[in-house]
Amino acid sequence: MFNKKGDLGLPIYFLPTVAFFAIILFIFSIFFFVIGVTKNPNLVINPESFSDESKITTLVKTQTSQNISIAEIIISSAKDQTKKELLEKELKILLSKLPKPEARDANWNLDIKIENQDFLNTGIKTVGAKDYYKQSIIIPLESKKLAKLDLYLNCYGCSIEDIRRNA
Amino acid sequence: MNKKGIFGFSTELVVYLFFIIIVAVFIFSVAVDYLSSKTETIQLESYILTKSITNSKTCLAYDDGLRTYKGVIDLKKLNFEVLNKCFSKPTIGYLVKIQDLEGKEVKVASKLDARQKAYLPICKDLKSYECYSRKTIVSYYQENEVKTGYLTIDLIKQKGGFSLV
Repeated sequence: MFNKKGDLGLPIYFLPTVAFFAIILFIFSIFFFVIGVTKNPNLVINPESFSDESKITTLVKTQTSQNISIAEIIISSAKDQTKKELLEKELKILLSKLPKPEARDANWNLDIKIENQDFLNTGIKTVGAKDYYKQSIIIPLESKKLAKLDLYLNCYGCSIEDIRRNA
Repeated sequence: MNKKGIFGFSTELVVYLFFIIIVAVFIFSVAVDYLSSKTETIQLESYILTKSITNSKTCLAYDDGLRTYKGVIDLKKLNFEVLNKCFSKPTIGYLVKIQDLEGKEVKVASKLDARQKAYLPICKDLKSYECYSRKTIVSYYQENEVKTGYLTIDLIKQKGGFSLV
């Protein structure tokens, strides 16, 4: 019936052609309906793309148990090692209290550099995780040097939804 | 050459038509799927509302008469009247809560009508409403002192209502 020009006017390739057609339809269905290649994830502006420095500004203004702010401890710790230990302790407490995506391996980190030299790195970094919401602030020190603070969320497996919610 | 069917069409033509219809239906489905995709804006709206509340003098930002302290919330301003003046849309209601870093509630106020107030706790089960909660760290001014705490905004929005943006 299908192996010659005749009833259906189609050659022996009829069945393989139908199978090939079905496979193509199946693959394209996955592309369009499952993966959603036509749906633009950037259709709604991601809050992260225009987020400000509000988190790090609030963080450095926070009063510690010593009744001085984080910014003041940073200034004094640049010349006093004991203050540096206090700073690390206070920052660990504060970073653990910052809102972050639940049920994810996410940790806030704060890196302090003085004149581009690493001074203090606080927080936990996970291998293979990405950094989000990077916020920076510069604090002038008594020695006329500048301390640069970088705050970011190190998260493994965070979705766009997780990131938008915590921006 | 080819056999004709009862309506005068050749069998070959029917087979070709079958494939053409399948491809046409597929293209139509892709187009419908694309056009009916929803654009979720409630996350962005809640973000803009948070920024308005914390940074605007007419909202909750602390103002000492000389300057406005962006990002510092004045607890005295946290009431219905100020929130109503700050942002008001009939289809959107919101609740603003300030907590200290230990999670203890410091002050709460809302701009919700009676229906929104009733629907907010069960919002996820309602088809005609959508809700969103955002928690962020902020500074707040209380008893001549700037403290650090959390600002939580619970937003309820009637679907198909006006947008903030």
